[in-house]
Amino acid sequence: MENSKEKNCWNYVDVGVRNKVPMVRLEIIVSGKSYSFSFVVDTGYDGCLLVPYSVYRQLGLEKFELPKDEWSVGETVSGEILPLISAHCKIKIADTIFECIIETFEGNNNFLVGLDFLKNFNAEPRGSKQEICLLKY
Amino acid sequence: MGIIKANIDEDLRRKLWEKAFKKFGYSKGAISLAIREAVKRWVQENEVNNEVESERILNNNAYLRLKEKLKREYDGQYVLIAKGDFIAAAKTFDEIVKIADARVPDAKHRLIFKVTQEEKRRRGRLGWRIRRKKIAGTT
Repeated sequence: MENSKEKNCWNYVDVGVRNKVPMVRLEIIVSGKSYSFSFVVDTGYDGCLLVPYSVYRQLGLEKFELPKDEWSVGETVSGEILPLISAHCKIKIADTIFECIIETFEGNNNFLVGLDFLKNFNAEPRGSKQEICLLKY
Repeated sequence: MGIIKANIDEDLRRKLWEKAFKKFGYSKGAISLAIREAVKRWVQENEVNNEVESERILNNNAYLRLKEKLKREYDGQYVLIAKGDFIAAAKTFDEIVKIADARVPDAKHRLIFKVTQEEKRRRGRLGWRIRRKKIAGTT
């Protein structure tokens, strides 16, 4: 990872699909402890963070949960509608800490960062270098 | 001691044998010990799941009961609901987490959220519309 005061870059990662995908590494802070994971940058997801259900449970995020009334519903690629279990959390990326809503649903195995996350940065996918850079503004 | 008969697929059975013998040695009781450990863990996990789910229902019912009051009195603040009741409100997320850890450390489920007048629930898209796997003939 290239690291400067303004810009942080991560290399694209081969996850077994046709092209390498942009991924960023960030930390989820729960009760003062940090847990680091890699997330696929996915502009098709319009939330902040999506984590696997097992990770949601392991981190004890049900202790920071939003009321069911405020959970969003997600539409999968197959058109299925799912309630998204949501929790309030702090995340750290490079030197930046901010609050974010973490979502999951039973059966989910993906780690995604979506549009709600990206709105905090100027994101620059550099196809030629196969890396993604985030610039905090 | 009881006897359980179950069908599992061949791949899983092979892995179970391999791991059980590695952990408990090549003895007659290795598979039983491994299965006992797995079942015990599964039962414990489900008991915790049930506790979380029953507290989730309790807390969400409390939220529905208190919703209008919270909007009137704690607009813009972070609120904590646990064990089926309103516990506290605070101005920041860090403060409310500290209060939660101090006052309801044993709660299996808690609601922590910022009270706002606006409707937050929305319908969102979930991930890639098309995910293409590498297969022969594609580049």
